Amino acid sequence: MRPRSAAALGLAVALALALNLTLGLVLAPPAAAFSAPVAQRLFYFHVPAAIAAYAVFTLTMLASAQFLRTRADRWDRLAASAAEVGALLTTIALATGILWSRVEFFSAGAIGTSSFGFALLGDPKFVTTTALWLVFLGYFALRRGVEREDARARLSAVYGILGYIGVPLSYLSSRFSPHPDLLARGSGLAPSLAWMLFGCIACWLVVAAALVALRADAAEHLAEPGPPIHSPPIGAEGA
Amino acid sequence: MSADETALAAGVAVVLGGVGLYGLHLWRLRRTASRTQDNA
Repeated sequence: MRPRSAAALGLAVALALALNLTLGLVLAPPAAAFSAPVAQRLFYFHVPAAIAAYAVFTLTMLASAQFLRTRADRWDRLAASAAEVGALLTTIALATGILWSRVEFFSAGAIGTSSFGFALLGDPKFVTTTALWLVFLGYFALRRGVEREDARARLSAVYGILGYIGVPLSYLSSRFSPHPDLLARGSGLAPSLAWMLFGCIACWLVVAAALVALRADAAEHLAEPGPPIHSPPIGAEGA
Repeated sequence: MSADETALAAGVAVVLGGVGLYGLHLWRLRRTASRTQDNA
């Protein structure tokens, strides 16, 4: 990737974030129905970051499957890059969700300071999303722990596919918990808010795609001087 | 500043800080890669 293309992707990230900030902090109408109406604006960062994280973890799974099929190391680099960006986005989704729910429930007097952590652990959405986050932190531990490059790529591809089970679990867990499922049909989300939310999701998908492209490109450049990661076919070593 | 506003400010700081620091990480990776290639 040329430096100019990388700069264009960086600019796309900055513009998408600026648009997201404008939509969420300026253009979105105040949410009077919430007990913490200011912090409710975190909704426009929390939900889109989570959706973008699901999208890039899907990319990890697809790239991992493609690696196992073709054994081309660029798929391994793409899977690892997408997993890294997914971990960042999940961290943002979890942090904004915790900040928002803490002040929302405090303002409503629903729970006290000492029981907030227990209330979070009682929310299947929080538990499954934290599990997903930990699974992909484990993915990086695995990559660091295996020295042989071909074994590392194979193992992390299998792990990336198996770990993907956390995505549908995290997404569907809101059907079985008090966590609002705002993207489901009949969720009661006003059309103007829904369009605002979809705009923010589009911004975060742009951010995620640009970050994955930049990360994969950096990984490719770092890998170029080294030897290819393929093992030679069995019996070819002595040839 | 109320707790409500503090939560929003902290959330926005997490978003901008997270993406900003990751952008810095990517910039350093690219710089390392180009130096490695120049030396090779």
